[in-house]
Amino acid sequence: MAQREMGARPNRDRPDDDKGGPPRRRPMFRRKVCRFCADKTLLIDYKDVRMVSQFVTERGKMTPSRITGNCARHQRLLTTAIKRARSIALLPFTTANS
Amino acid sequence: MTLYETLFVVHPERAARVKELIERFKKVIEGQQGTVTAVDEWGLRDLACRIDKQGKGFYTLLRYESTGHGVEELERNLKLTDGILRYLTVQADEKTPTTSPSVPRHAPEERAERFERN
Repeated sequence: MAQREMGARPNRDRPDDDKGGPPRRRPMFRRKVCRFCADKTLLIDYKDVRMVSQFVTERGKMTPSRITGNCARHQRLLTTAIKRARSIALLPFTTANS
Repeated sequence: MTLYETLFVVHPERAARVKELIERFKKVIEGQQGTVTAVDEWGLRDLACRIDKQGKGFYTLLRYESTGHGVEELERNLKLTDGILRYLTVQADEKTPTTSPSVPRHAPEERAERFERN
């Protein structure tokens, strides 16, 4: 038992991971690219409801950038756009009652 | 002088008077040495949430060059005017269009229908 544990341990240690082969704990994922960085002609505007509502869930919550892949700057711009659209009733705050 | 835009929502029952209101606000801006560069009536749209028990509102966008005092004066007038449900003033970006996304909001209804079918 003890020996088996010893055998398993080196794999868990970080330094060993670096030495040989790809690191174990890294699932396959595709790097998401910020849509607004990729296409510079896209403008973030609170008046464009159709565009802004793509970044809102069905409940009306903002989708986090970790899901949409937006960069920090554009996520920030989106946040203000969503909040502006909400305040002028272009976007819902919530859909709980309607 | 800065470029601003003000989007305001008029009570649906007063939608007929929108032209009159626009003229009034234009005069307010011009009275403060501002210049109106664009007026865009989006028309009657569904509101995302009820405001003053109204489900619809008449949207109008004004884009103008003015000083900060001009904005203050316009907002004061918007507050005094009856039948203004909401207004929003922001510093405008020339690149963004003044037009509304022309498609009215029907998404929630469609979603509801789909839900029933399932």
